[in-house]
Amino acid sequence: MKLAGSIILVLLQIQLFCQTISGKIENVNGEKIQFANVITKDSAGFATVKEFTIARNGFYSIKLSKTYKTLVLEVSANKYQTEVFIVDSLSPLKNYVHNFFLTKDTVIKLQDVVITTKARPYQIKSDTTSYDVSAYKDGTERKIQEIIRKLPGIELNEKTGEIKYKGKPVETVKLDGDDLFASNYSIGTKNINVDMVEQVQAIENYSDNPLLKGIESGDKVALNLTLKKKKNDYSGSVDIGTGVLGPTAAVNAGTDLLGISKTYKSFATISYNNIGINNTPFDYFSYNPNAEQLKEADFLAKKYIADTYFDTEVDGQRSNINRSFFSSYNAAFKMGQRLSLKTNLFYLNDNIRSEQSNVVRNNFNGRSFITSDQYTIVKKPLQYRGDADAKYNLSKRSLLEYSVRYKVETINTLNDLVQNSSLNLNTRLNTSDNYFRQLLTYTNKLSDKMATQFVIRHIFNDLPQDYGFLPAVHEPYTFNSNNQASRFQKRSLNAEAIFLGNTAKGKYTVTFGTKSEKINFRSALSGGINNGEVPVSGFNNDFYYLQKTIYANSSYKLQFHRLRLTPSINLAYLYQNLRDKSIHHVEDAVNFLPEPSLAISYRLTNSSGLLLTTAYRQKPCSEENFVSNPVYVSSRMIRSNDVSLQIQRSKTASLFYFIHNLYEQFQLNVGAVYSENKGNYFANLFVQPTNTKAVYFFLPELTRFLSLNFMVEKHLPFLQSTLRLRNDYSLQRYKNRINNSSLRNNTAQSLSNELFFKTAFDARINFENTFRHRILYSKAEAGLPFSNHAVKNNFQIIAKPLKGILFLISTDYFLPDTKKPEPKYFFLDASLFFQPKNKIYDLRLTAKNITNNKNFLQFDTTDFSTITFQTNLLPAHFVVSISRNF
Amino acid sequence: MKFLSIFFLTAILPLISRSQNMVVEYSMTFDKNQNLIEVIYTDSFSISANKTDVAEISPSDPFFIKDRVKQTAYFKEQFMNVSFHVKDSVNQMDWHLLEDTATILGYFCQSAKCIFRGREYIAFYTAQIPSSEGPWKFGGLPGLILSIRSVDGFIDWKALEIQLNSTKRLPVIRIDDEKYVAWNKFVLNYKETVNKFVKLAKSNGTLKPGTTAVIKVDSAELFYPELQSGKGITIEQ
Repeated sequence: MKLAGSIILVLLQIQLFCQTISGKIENVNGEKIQFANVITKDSAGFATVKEFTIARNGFYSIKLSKTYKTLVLEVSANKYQTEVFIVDSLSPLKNYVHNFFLTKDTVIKLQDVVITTKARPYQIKSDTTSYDVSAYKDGTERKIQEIIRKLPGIELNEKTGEIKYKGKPVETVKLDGDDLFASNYSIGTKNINVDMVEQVQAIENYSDNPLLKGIESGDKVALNLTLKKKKNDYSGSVDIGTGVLGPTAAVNAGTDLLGISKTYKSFATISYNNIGINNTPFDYFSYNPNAEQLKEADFLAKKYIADTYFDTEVDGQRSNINRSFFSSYNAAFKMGQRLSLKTNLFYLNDNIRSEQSNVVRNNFNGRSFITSDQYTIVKKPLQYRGDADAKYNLSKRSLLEYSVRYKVETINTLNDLVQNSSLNLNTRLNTSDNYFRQLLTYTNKLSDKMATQFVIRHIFNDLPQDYGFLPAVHEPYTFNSNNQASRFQKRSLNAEAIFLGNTAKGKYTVTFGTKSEKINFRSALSGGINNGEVPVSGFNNDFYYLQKTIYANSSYKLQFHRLRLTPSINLAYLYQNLRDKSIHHVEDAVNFLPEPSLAISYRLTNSSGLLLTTAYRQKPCSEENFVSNPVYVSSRMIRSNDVSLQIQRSKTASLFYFIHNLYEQFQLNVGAVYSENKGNYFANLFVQPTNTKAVYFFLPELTRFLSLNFMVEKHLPFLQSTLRLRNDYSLQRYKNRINNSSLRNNTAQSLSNELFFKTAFDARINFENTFRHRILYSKAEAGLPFSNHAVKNNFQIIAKPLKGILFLISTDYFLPDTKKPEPKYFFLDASLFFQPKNKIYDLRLTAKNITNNKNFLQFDTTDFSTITFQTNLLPAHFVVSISRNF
Repeated sequence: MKFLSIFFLTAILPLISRSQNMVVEYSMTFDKNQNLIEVIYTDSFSISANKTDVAEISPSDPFFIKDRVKQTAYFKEQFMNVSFHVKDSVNQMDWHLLEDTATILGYFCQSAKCIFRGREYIAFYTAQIPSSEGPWKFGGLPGLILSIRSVDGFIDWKALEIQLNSTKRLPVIRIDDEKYVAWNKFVLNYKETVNKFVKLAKSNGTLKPGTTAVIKVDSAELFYPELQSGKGITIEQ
């Protein structure tokens, strides 16, 4: 045994009946050792520690809990040799002092002695925000969408079903980690029952491809719904609602079935309603493209003849007079360790009816006249669609994915209309949309920080349209009827090689690709005479358009503490070729298109930041501008184009500042976006009382757009209420010609203001009010201004008289034009919800439009007209619903 | 300047004066989610952070620093998007040694138990590594803690790898002692923030009428039991 230094044993006065040993711990130079462990053992060499203390600043004191006769005292400290001292014949009634003097550990240790054990696979939790709001349990709504919209940081677009998390659109909504729905996640969110879901998780830095996790720089986000564990493989719910809808019966019924096993996961839904509810991911009532449609817009063939959509200021559930049947089956299968398959099937059938009137007061070039149309519309969309995906893991580091989609959609729209109070006209528009898509992706993870991807995409879209008029609108003295046929066909083939990497300073992506688009368009107008059809000359189109692009794209996301810089550049070589047989015109164009962009974000504090983006874009014009001869695109509009293959160039800059200070219960968002497009197709409009001829022509002139947004929200503790003010302003400067005028400079402005107030009293009754004011203003340079001010107010009383019972009264007040006392609208809705203690079912009574408003009138403006638009509404309806889970 | 002096005197000098530190990689399972946490120990400091972040950690990242001289831990707590910079006394655990032993990574370990802020823990430490440290706030045993788990299974740390003489250095984190609030004050601030959030959620229109939202935060330390255990706090609309 080595003892460095002296040992002093001092007998002290007896103070306690337990033994205490204390003393100094110093090194041989007499310097105090900052930290040391002092342990006691039964005997030297025996490992088990009996008692211990931690010595600090060169002093220790250990009060023994038992009495010992012999004790081994061991002192160890980092970088010193362990010292042992054996105390024999300890007296129970004495305290001892023993000082230790430690020598430096002179043993040369190996550099980086590493002892390891095998790590378990892990998942980083920091990317996932789990709303352990284990149940954001909902007393009123049944579907998970109603819960998602409440979660902090999540925004839901009620019209499209699109979900954003922290301002970014989510890629998908997964079910227990499986991506069953892809972009059409609203099938799930609109239909999955609240009671099936345990938790909603928001995943940041999401990668739909697991091999790109941590490498991809996409800033993608996704949601995951973790499902409640059930004993059975199947669970679901049934909702049945019925009541009175004017003279007919109101129906709102549906059922969902969720099946889960180790190798299989499925969700099936069937629903029917005639009270204006859209349970589908598709919107045939008011045109709001969903996430998938926006993502694939560039690959879709154009609808040259516009389908009818119903865009109203009132909520769609007041004006969508529908008979909507929707069913969907979504399933994922795991076929062994390497292969997984997925399929999504859809069937949709709707019958939307609307009675509308449109009065346009035109005023231009010193001339004014009124046109009017009264429409009775029946629109019948029908859609069949099937998607299939296969994923095969070639190895741990490589993945092959193949997906295929086929969709057949037909929309038949019958329109019985009266033009200018005199001409009766029946139109029938049949639009078919046949869509076929294949996508093959190979991913290879080269290392933990690098990956490559090869993507081949093939799309074919055929879009024939058939538009019939009775009586004829073209040469009505010659023909009995007219038929306008139109057909866009688009074939796209796209191949890309993508290199992704993650370095210490940031993430980069480099893409090389080529894209080929072949577009055919044919249209013809015919007139009916004596049971035969005669083609109308000068109204046929037949062109072929080829677009080939070779491109390279590079972007780098750099992070310097609070500052993030994302510079990127896209270089494209574009070849365009247009062969128009109808006017015997051939045109070629070759362009080299560099597109730089830069995004800068700076985090000022934990709750505030700045974001600046700037981009320069160049693109060819859209193919609907290449239709040279006239086509009837609506009952009033005949469109043709002066074709040009020139390039549109746009500059965009945006600046946003935000404060989200939860501690101060204060939120502020301020943003500005400015864009400038050089090179556009402008309209030369020949506005007549019976129709409007629009000739679009290309000019390298500017169109400017500015939008400003402001939002401030503050909780006022002394009122137990929250106040929110939101202002949105937009300004557009554009050009056109009316009836061969010189080029007119036009301005369109809109301003909307919203003031929201809600109480949160700890009482059985609370109130909520939202006031909205909107201004539209349009003006041509030398013309008269057209403006409209409209006001809307929503007031709600929320009462909870007893536990499990909720009573809700909601009123909407509209004044579509504040300059006039009439029209004005007052809507009254009421709901009563009841859920018993066992929560197996819930019961609700809903009454909408109790004041039975039959129509709704609204105003719009253009640079040469004001538009008065009226639509009919769903009459007063009362529905009793019961929902049950199984 | 005050900020700088604190930064240089208390943080930087001890780090650069010693070149060899101990680095332990722990697997930390928290409410069934597993993370890899790296802890770098110097003579006077230790820092814990996510393994991928530890080299380039910044004060805005989640971090945990122990100043052994001051017997104080510095770390960041968060509720929603409100951050709190907190200082807390370390090694407050009242350990009771147990007879159980284990061998972890080749080290002979002995067990001990304690109750710390609402949970009971069982630790395995090795006296063969003469440090009274451990991951997170744990420490105060006569040897390095290589494994510690709560009896309810909520939290579980296990050492996967030990580098006794690593040249890895502590990242530079600036600690301004005055900007950190003491634990008791933090608990009051945290409760006040949660209560403010509940009031805001009731009145800003995100919750539809009839909604009952339940908010629960899983935490190793149960300092706000209404929020952190049972069903959580109910927000009734």
